[in-house]
Amino acid sequence: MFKLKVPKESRARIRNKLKIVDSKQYEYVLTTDKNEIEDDKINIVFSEEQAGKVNRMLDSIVKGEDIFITVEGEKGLKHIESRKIHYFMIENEEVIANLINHKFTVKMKLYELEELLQNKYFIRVSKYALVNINKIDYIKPAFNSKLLLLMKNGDTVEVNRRYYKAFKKTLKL
Amino acid sequence: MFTFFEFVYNNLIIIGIIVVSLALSAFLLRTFLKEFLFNRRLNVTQNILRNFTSLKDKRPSFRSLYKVVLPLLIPVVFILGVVRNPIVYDGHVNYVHTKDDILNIRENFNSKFYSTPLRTTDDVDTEGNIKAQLERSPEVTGSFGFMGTIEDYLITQTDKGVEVTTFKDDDLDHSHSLSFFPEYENVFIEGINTTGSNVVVMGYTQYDDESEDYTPYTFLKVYDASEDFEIVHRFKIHGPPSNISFNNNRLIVTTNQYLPFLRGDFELDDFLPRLIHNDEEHIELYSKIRHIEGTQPNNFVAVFHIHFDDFSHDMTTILTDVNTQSKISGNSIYLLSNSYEFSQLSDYLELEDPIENYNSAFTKLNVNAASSGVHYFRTRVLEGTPLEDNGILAQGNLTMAFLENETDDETILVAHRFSTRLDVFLSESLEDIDAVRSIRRHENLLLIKTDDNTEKGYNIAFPAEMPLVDLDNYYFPPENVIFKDHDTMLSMHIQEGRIYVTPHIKSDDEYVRLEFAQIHMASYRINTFSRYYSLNDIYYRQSDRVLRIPRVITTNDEMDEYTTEIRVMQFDRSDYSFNTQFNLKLPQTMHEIEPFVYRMHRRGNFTYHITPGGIAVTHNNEPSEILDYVTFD
Repeated sequence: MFKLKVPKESRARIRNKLKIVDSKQYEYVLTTDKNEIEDDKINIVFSEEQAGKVNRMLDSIVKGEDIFITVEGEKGLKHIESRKIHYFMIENEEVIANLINHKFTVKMKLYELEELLQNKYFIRVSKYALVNINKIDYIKPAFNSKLLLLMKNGDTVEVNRRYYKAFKKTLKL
Repeated sequence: MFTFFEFVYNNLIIIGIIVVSLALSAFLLRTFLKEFLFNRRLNVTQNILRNFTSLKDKRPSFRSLYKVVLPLLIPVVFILGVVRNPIVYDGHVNYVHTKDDILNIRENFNSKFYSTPLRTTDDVDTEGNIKAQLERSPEVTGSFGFMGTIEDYLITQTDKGVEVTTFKDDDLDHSHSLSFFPEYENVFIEGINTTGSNVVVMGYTQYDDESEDYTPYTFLKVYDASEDFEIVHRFKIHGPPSNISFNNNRLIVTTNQYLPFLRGDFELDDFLPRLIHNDEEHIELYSKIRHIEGTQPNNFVAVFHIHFDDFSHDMTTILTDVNTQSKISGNSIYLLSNSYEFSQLSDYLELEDPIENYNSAFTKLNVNAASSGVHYFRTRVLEGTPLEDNGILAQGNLTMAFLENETDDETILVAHRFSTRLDVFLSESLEDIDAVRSIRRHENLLLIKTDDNTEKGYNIAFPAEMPLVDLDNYYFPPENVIFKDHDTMLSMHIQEGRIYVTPHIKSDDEYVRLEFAQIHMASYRINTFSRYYSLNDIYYRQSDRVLRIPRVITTNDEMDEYTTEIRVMQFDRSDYSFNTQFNLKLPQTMHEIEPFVYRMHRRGNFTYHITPGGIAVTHNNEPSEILDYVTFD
């Protein structure tokens, strides 16, 4: 997503302040030297003193405005931020949003959620599950070319063979 | 490379387990790498997404690599589990270290061999095997003889012991009577040999069917002529001897010791081969015993080697089956045993017929000519079962094994020829031969006689082939008169007054086939003999072509008076017959034994006539006149 173009001696320091990971395929160029800007990219030119502000800006670029999902709990309907949801799972023909300690029913189809959250780093891993990449704690290969995703709430979600390639692609493996 | 494939073929199950465990390890390694890459990439992706809640690297610990190694332990655990006492395998031989190793080998063999309903351990006739082994006479080769000389001493063997006589021209004096083993009954003196100033006397206990305490021994006593024939060394070898060879001042004895595992009071330690030199007992060590793979482990074949230069000795022991055939040839000892190749599955399952192949194990051991060492050399496993009693022919540079290969509808006799390294360089199928009675070699001719008395000859002059020879056109060397099948043929035809000689004798200019040479024995009275002649009774000197036959002739109608004489016959090459020259009548006091073995010794102008009863001397110019004699009472 980002490409950092700063002098070698200050590179580690600035990268640490901006908390970024360089990508081979990037849309943004971050540089302290205006001569380093690339015409076909979005260029952010800053001085090292402005790194704190740039960092917050990067947060809003990546995370953007969060999408709220309407869920149905015991106390009625409520809106929760999508980034708090670990995964959606179809159970008994209902879509359940699984959070760290709670489960809520969602009155949307899974494919509708997939479409809605496609830019929010949710990924379809099976016919029945949509997973938040940020909430995956650990990936465990299983037999039969499947993967088991150990989520941060302790649950396990299976990556179906059909979605295995797409999952690998998302992780850029 | 061959050894590797042979190992793979013989150990399919172990190889299978190793392959499976390697495949499992490879799979686990692949899974480990996959897990490592996925989680490392997950970590990077989450950082790109500025999700810094999990900063630690998500990757499997290298400690979990132990899982990858775990399957490799399976073959180790398997081998340790199946083989409780790992026995070192080398070629076709298992090295054992302890008594338990032998018991395990036996248990392992029996669990396969007797797993078939066709065989049970009840079939094993322990007492029968012991008796058969004890009754078997040893095959004696080499220079043990009836007499020997040391300076002016003539040493002769009698039925009772050994007699020493001084001889100087026509003067004979009885000097010593050497007692052998008076403390043991039924000791058969095999022969004597003189080496330096020593007289080596060898004998063994003859099997006594009626004695319950019968124990087979081979005895040696060494008397020193320079010390007034004092006994300087005693040797006692335990076990029934199967082969005895005395050559070049060295003695090789092989013994067969059946191990009666099924007998209640059986203790393996008691059956270990042992040699007692003077009063020092040497018992074979378990660590020196080798088992020939695939052979039934119910017999110790021990090879003893005694060097008479310094009276050092050694032994080595092979654990193999009770029907093992053995031969000594020069410095080598050959063993031929049945060897069973079991199905791999029989290690784990009880099969109807666990034996995959019936083979033979041909083993060679060597003795060291310079020292007393006995060394195992090599074992070859060949397809087929040993030919009964005639499985080995080892003579000079010729080493052969005769095996029977069974096909669906016939049994084929196959002759294998071996190099000194025991490599097979010729395997020849000998067709139309069944029921072999004897196999012998005459120079470049291999002669096989069958039960119907037909004899076939094969030329063994060439290493790459063994062509059948037409015996009608085959001629033995001219000077070589050999008595044919001495026991049977002589005993049969002597009643007709004839003795067969070799079938072919070459004249000076042309080859002539001769069926037999006539020996004129008109005055001979058959009923004075209690047994047939054997080759030992007849003394033929190749150098002067003179045949000397000891005879006992009754002189009255009651046949209670008799005379003993030596009939001296000259071989006449003009008509291929033996003609009587004269009869040397022996003194009355030499009459005690009839019939008897006769030998002669020539020194200077005198000839000494030796019988078990005494020695007589004649002058060469008056060969029929006895000048002096001694008798042994």
